[in-house]
Amino acid sequence: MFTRFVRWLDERMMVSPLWRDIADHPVPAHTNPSERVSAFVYCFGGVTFLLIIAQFVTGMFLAMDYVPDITNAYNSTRYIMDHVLFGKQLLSMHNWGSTLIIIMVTLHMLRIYWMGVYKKPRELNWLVGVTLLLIILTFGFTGYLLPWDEKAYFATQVGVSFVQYVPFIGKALFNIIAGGNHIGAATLSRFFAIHVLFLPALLLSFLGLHFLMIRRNGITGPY
Amino acid sequence: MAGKQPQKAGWTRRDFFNWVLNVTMGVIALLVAVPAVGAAITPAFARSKPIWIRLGLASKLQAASLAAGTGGVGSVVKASYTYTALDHWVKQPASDYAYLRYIGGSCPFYILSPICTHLGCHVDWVPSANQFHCPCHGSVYTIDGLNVSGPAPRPLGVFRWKLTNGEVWIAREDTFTGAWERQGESPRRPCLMVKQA
Repeated sequence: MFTRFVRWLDERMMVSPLWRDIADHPVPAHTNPSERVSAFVYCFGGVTFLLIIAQFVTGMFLAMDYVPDITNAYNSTRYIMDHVLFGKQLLSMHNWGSTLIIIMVTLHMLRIYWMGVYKKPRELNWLVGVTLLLIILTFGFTGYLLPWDEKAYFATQVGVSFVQYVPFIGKALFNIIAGGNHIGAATLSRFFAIHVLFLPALLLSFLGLHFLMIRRNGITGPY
Repeated sequence: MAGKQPQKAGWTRRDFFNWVLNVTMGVIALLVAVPAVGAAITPAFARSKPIWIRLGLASKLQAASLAAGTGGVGSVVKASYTYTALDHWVKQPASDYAYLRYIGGSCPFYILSPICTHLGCHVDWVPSANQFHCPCHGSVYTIDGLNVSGPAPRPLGVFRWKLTNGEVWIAREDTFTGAWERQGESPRRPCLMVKQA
């Protein structure tokens, strides 16, 4: 049944070679945990990607009930937790997922650093990876404000205040990030837009580059 | 075949159309980028007027400050106030307080913002030490609001104020401390009483 469907699709779109290139290629034995258990360290990046997909899904459904406005953001967050079916679970998955991503991405980076994978010809992919780390940290920072509770507000006030110490343009930079002279209505809508529109677009572009370069350069080792 | 043809000197028809296409795309990109970037960086250039808030009867505030001090010298008292805060498109009732002290003379009230210039916590008035202490990271200010210890980069903000029908009104500015901000440790006590027209 499935084979027939794929054949039908291939006659029109030729997806099989694409699928083979993306997902159905052999990997070296030294990166296969079923060959050698310690090879699980090669999975950290892939696990991060799976977690990112989970963040996309939970985030999209959270956005159905969330309102990025200072009078309603907190109330809508409470509504998700108290009145939406499995809302608390959805929110918790998004919340814990973000923490897990930071952990996995750190482990992934440690593996890359430990094994010296950042060396030529993979130094460009290292740069892309560091950019991805910054994007992910910005995701965490902007998402932290969205519930608009006291912890979120003051954490953001402290965080955004740091940019004021940039020489000459510190004040202007603060105003651009905060959307005004202080953390308020404009900050929340800005952070929401950055969190759900700007960053996902950036993240997907850089992930594309990241994966493309992994395929071009291949996997390092064995050591 | 096309590759074997010798290139003509100067512009070909194709070069011209490529140029037209590139310029058109560039203009479109610019037309999109200018308003987009403009909207994003607007807050860097925004200026806003202060809002005037009634703090209370001058006689009562003076009595409270004198009662907190000793021997006819006023000390620091908390003066609470409520106002309608306008945050871009959101109007909300808000409340805060100022640290007020009766100092006499031609500018009888010295009104400080409680916002720590380090990271924005409310500082506590500690009468036994005659200082303001920040509970967050330990910044210390003198009774005049000058930063003397801790991470605070600037003195506390000072409210500009005016007297209308025996009542004290303060100007809440759209600054970090909500008040007029001193950039350095000014030795002179700033008198920020606004003369009535």
